[in-house]
Amino acid sequence: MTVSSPKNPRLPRRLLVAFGCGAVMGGAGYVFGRTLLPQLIGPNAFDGVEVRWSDAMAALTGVALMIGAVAVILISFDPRRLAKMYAMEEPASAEEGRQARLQAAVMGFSGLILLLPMVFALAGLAPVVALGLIVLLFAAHTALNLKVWGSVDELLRRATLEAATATFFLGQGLLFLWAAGERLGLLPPITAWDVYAVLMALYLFVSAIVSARRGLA
Amino acid sequence: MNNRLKVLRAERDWSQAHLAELLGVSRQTVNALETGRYDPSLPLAFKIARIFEQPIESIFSEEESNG
Repeated sequence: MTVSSPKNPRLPRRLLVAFGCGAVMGGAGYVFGRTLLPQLIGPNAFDGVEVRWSDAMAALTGVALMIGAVAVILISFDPRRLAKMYAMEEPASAEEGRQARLQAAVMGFSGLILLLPMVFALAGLAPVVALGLIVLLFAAHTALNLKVWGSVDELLRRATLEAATATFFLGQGLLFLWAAGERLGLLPPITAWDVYAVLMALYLFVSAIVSARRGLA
Repeated sequence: MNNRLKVLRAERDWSQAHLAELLGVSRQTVNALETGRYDPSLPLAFKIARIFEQPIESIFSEEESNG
């Protein structure tokens, strides 16, 4: 008996459930923000605060990353659930739990860093101080990313490279088309923050699909 | 790519964890290999062949399987 590589592996049910939950929570958040929130904090609380579409996209991506990280960290303390998540035959070892927590922590850290520019701006922190803090956290995040890269095997590295490659080609394609439209005067200019928000949302989406295809989610 | 990794492991009564340890990879990688979700690098394929004491082509093949 042999096992063949799936030509078009089906996405696991849990990934579809996660996307479904995300859609439901997004809808609930929208309803909350439109109806209940103005009653709680006053209808004019956000007057003078400019919230762009990219802020909403970055906030959703950042929160999704953090929720995903918390979920994995909680699961990682249960060897049987962690083994089930990774479709492994026997309960996860302490080392596998530790590794899952490290990877989840880096993922959650990514979400936090993504939220900070908006949080600092809303909090009115001095831009120089805010950027200084973000640079420090970014350096720490990069060090953690390198630590994870150094501690994983070829499967996770391959998945990371595939996600990065797909994100680059999709992202550069979108950016080129927008840039062409902008250059021709058909589309409005966008900011670096807009581009980055789209890039991170794209990376999260592509990573989820790559992880599912490789049996990592 | 087809492979007989799961069968070879079962024949030796090895756990995924034991094979992962022998190969120096995670159990996720062993699982992904066995379920056909991942084709190994050449160095890892050689290592697998060495551990099972079989030529690579008897473990991995391009042909579609009937089994």
